[in-house]
Amino acid sequence: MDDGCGGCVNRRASGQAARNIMNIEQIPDRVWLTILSSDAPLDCEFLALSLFFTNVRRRHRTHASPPAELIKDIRAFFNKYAALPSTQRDLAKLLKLGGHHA
Amino acid sequence: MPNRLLPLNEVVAKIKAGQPLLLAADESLLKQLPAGNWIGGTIPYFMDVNGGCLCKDRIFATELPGFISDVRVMTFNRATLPDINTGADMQDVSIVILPANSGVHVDFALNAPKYAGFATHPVIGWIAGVDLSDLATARPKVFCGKPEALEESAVVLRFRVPDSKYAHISILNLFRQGSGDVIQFPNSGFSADEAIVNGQRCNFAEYLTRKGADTKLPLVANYCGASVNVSFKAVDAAAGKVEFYAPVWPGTDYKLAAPIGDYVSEFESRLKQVSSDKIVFSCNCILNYLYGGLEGRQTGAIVGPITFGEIAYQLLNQTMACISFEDLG
Repeated sequence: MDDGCGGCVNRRASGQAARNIMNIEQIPDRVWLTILSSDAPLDCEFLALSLFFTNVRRRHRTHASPPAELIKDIRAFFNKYAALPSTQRDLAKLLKLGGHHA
Repeated sequence: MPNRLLPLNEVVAKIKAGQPLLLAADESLLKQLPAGNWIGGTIPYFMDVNGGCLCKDRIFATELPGFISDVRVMTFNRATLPDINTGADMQDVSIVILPANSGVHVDFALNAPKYAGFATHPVIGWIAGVDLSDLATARPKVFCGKPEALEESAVVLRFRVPDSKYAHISILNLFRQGSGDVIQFPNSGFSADEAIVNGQRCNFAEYLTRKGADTKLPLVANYCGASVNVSFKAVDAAAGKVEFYAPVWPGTDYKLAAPIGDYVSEFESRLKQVSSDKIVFSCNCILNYLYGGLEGRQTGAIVGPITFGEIAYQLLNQTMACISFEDLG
């Protein structure tokens, strides 16, 4: 099963991931741009993020939306789901791909 | 919580008692229901506890858990559908039903990922259909809290879950990308004449014919770890055109799915990975029902309407979608 929240029940996100969520607005645009531009495969736990991120990457690749708009959407997504441990774990993976060290 | 086929009178009693319900049935039954907190869609195929069946004298009813609140039923048309995510957050859940082949179905399929707030609140649902023997004459319909059949509207039942819980939407897709060619499409849409196979442009219908591709197997794309299918509707080699049940997208790598063995055995082995007893609502694709020979066969605790398309945030094909509720923290 492609998991909407990947067996996350009762598992707590790492402290690092939780800090990433709290500082989502402070993550520099260049980190998101690196992630958007990367062809590296991603394996997200959270189904909503899998679909969302595929969409924003596609919009970036096809120049359907300006990067500033995509980054705004990404921040809004993570702010909405900040309470979910699976989102926090996925965010930690993304930030690693983007070369971000909190 | 009942999640099964019920006779009309039992459903009427539940509606009159104020129970929020998700309903699926033949149009003739849904037209007899009283006003209340329910949405419904037409379909006569179901996975019931006794197995897959064609049933026109009962209604598949899904009751929602007692802890939900703020239940509302809403309709959206082609102009308002892009606002489907407006005003919702993680604790709001939208259950959506769209009539197959309607304008809202096509719009949602092509545009849902572009809607403001895409995937920022839990959205699950299905595409209403008809008896396959009536395809030429009947039209799929949806209902929004009253016995008025709608052909060109999306219906939504939205509710709120308490802060201590969250909605967990998941999909069960038996198909994975095969090891063959990488296929891309230059344009989005429900049909394609041209494809880019391993970097070379070609006519896609000719390619599939030349390969002898089994078009019961879908195209599969990897969406950041989630396998998302696009099912084949028709391959017209003479016209050089391929039609799909969901749109293909440029900038996405597709592969033909790897073959699977016995559908039910495969399904059961995947089900072991989930807590199926927690699933509140699920739906499965008519193509799985047909190609998997599910009539008369059981799929454990996974029951619900058989659909002309599934929704988990966006339109899906040949997939089972389900929702459960988990404790947060």
